[in-house]
Amino acid sequence: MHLSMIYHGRMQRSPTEPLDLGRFEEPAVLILTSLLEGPRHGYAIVRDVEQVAGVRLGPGTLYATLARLEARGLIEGVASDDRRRPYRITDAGTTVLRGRLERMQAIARTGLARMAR
Amino acid sequence: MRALLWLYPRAWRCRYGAEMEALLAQLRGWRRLELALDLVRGAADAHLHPQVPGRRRLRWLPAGLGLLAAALISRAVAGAAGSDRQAVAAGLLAGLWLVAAFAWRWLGSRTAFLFSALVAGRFMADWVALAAVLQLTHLGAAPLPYRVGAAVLEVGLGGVAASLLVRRSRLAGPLPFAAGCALELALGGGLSAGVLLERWLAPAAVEPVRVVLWAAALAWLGRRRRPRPWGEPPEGAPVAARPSPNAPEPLSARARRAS
Repeated sequence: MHLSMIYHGRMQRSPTEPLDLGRFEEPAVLILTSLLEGPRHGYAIVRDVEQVAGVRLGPGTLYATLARLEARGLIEGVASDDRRRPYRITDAGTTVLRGRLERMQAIARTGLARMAR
Repeated sequence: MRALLWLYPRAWRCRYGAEMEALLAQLRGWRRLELALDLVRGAADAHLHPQVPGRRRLRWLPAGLGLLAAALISRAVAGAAGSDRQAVAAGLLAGLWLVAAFAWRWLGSRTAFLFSALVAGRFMADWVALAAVLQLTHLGAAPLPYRVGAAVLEVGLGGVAASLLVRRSRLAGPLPFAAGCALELALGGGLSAGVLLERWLAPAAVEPVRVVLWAAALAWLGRRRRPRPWGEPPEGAPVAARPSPNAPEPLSARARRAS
């Protein structure tokens, strides 16, 4: 399925379909994880990600990832009078993140078990 | 630093410009070069993979201009080297297009990366073939078995270059190798389309145009990456909880109410 079909609203993406985010996969997981705490604007996400994962997200990377997540319906902007618009994770975003984190957990568990042998 | 935001498409600036300006004003402790490179890369990504619906773009114009530029640059280098130093020209062009491939990879365009890498791979194959075997046949001194062997080597190298670079696409298994060999045969000399190229174009332009067409066709065939599951929830995963009633109102709901 082509991405343009999604953001032009011609097809509805199912949360179980694969998403090809390329180099934005890791920032996407970090941002979605940050938004689990509640709605946050760009600077708050950057600071949280740096504190939690030690990764510094540049503004170009941050907004390229936010745009992808928003186009896929995994996050949504929240109304604000400030220039700094907060974002929050959607139900679909939570489902996708849970699947991703469980897969990462399974890989980590397997890797650690093999190292312990 | 805010001036770099003008590199982004207009639709993108309308949607995210104010937020990015506010973020830039707040960021501390960043090196200016690091920040500038991140913004340039982000702007290139916004043009190459627009997530915000904007003005309808002429999709094929940049591709056509890119192919023309690739052929002209390759021809200029091949022409400057002269007919007796084609192996040097092929090596030089392979290096040049390899640098271009890395640049496209950094900027995030898979198709442009694939195209540049294929051109580099094809010139590298030319360099190997010219340096190793084909020099004999070009001198006209080689007997028939050598010429046949050289032709098979040239076609095979085309196939190897294709299978190395296009293997992670939707073309799976032996298909990239077969496509590389088939295109090499189709665009080569003899009874193929190469005869038409030799008739229409100046001798120095034939090989660069042939390489560019070969790479463009393969890049088009391999432009789609093989799908990889991302975030697919495991079977039986619980349904996500609904947001709390005190959560802030989403923008989409406010827009619907206003209209």
